[in-house]
Amino acid sequence: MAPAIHSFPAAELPLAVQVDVDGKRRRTEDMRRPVDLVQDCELSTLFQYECYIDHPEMRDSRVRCWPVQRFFRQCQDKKGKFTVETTAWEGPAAAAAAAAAASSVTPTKN
Amino acid sequence: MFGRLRSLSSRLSTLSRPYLGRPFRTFLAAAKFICFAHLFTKYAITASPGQGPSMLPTFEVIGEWILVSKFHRLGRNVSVGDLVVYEIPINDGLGIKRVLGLPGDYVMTGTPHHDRPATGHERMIQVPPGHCWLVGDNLPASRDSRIFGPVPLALVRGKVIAKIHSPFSYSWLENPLKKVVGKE
Repeated sequence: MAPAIHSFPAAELPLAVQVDVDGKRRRTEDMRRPVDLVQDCELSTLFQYECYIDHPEMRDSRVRCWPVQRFFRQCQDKKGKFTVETTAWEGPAAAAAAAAAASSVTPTKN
Repeated sequence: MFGRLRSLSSRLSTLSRPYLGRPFRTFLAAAKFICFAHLFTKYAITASPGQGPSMLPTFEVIGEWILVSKFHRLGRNVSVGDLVVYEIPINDGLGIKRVLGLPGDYVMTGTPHHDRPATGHERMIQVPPGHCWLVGDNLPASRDSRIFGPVPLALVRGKVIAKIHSPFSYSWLENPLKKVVGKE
């Protein structure tokens, strides 16, 4: 059984990441300023899905899936790397950034 | 044709000669093979069938096998985005889920939706030491950490490294977590 865990709203994420898993203030390379999720942490993304089977009782039934994009920030403190899911904190803005990054990649012609 | 059969039977008799009429030696060889197979599948690599709708569309509901690296048992060298096989904490079965958080990481406890943007009120937690946060790829059909909370790393049996479609067809699985942009 997992230990009792404190949960917090996603809007408080920038404050919550200042404390490490031992409850101590995170030590960054530059001790004078706190961890900045946008400036210090690289944005990554992966897709999960909402899939529905039209007729579960049939073996060859059609399956329809809608992608759900999730966002993560990979940060570094003096103890090592840690990952912060930012889907709920910056979802729409990150999706726009991801779309812009994808559209800026021009296909090469051979 | 008969010549080939004769040479095959002579080869087989050469191979089985050390064990013919020697029951103890045969038993010892079988025991050695079973011990080696047990060690290999427990600590190196194993293959097993997977079924269920919780990992759609990464895995079909039925009919696919997975290749599992036991070098990653107990969550060793597992990263966010990897697929793991784990002992389900609320029953006796094994499951396959994606790792979304490791000890000290921050994860969303609820479910994001494709048609509803986040509001900022969604609840989040910091994954406690010695635990991970596992979520199935098919969000509406998966029973995972969103239901039973963080999973002890001790329950992680290994990392899924390949999908086997048939005895002669397989595909390696990559971690889908990709960088979007560099440091801003």
